[in-house]
Amino acid sequence: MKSISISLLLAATAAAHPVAFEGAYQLMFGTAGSVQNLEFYRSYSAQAAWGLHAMRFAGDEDEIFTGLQHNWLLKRWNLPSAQANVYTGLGAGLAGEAGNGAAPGGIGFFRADYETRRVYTAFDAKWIESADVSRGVFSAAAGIAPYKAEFDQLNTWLILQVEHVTGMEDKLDIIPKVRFFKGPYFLELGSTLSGKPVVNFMIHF
Amino acid sequence: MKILFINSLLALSATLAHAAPDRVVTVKATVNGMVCSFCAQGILAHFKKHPAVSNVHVDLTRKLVLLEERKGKSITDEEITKYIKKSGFEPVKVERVKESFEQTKAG
Repeated sequence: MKSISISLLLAATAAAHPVAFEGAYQLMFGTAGSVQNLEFYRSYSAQAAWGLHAMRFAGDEDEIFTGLQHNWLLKRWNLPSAQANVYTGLGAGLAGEAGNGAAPGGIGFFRADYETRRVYTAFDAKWIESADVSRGVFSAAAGIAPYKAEFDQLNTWLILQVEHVTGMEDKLDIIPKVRFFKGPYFLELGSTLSGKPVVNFMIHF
Repeated sequence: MKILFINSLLALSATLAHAAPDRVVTVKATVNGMVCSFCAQGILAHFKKHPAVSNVHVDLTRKLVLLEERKGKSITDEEITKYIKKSGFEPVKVERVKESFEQTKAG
């Protein structure tokens, strides 16, 4: 129960754009499979954001990374009926096994996505490295919206995500999930096929 | 009598000329890339802060951002372009229309 609570309070968000609009604050948290994320960013332009990132890899010995991270929107294609993005990010902080101290560590990610009002695809890769921790998280997702929601309506997406975390027992997590968003609020609910809950929440302000 | 008539016409035209900027103007901006309401929240956040804007509406289907200007105040095309870019999107066209904000919103 305690670990589920921690999972729900922390977060895994291979879900959303790591850079928002100029002046925005972005809080993201969630859990997916064995990985939890907590991220808080300030977008100081529409192309760049910086903030805090914490990740936890649940296992026999939990591994935790916490650090400062900078995200860049490398390229955006604003098309009449679609948008595509390429992002990258780098961070530095501390990483280690819970209770055994931590060593200086780094994080890096690459993300590409394409979406229309009915179709969503994304690829996301993260690396975390320190003296004690070496993890890679790779995910790909595709989804459809059953209806075209207008700006002020509830948006619903049905998404299938596959995720691989290097060094974990499960080689590949397959994650069916439902995404909802309305206004500045974003929520994803799902489960891995092995029954681990997937919850992602995000807010812009 | 003729002079009085001409003076009245001049006074009327001066009143009308002064009244024109005081009417409520609707601005229609066509924007590329607006496919997700969550991602387009910046449009709302930026334009709501502008003192000349009393109302904002985003129409994802028609790819439009509609603005209603306050009486006697105005937002420039350059500001509109800048705010849309700050929100992460690509402005295509900015135009001022005769219809009211609600009429334009209704399509």
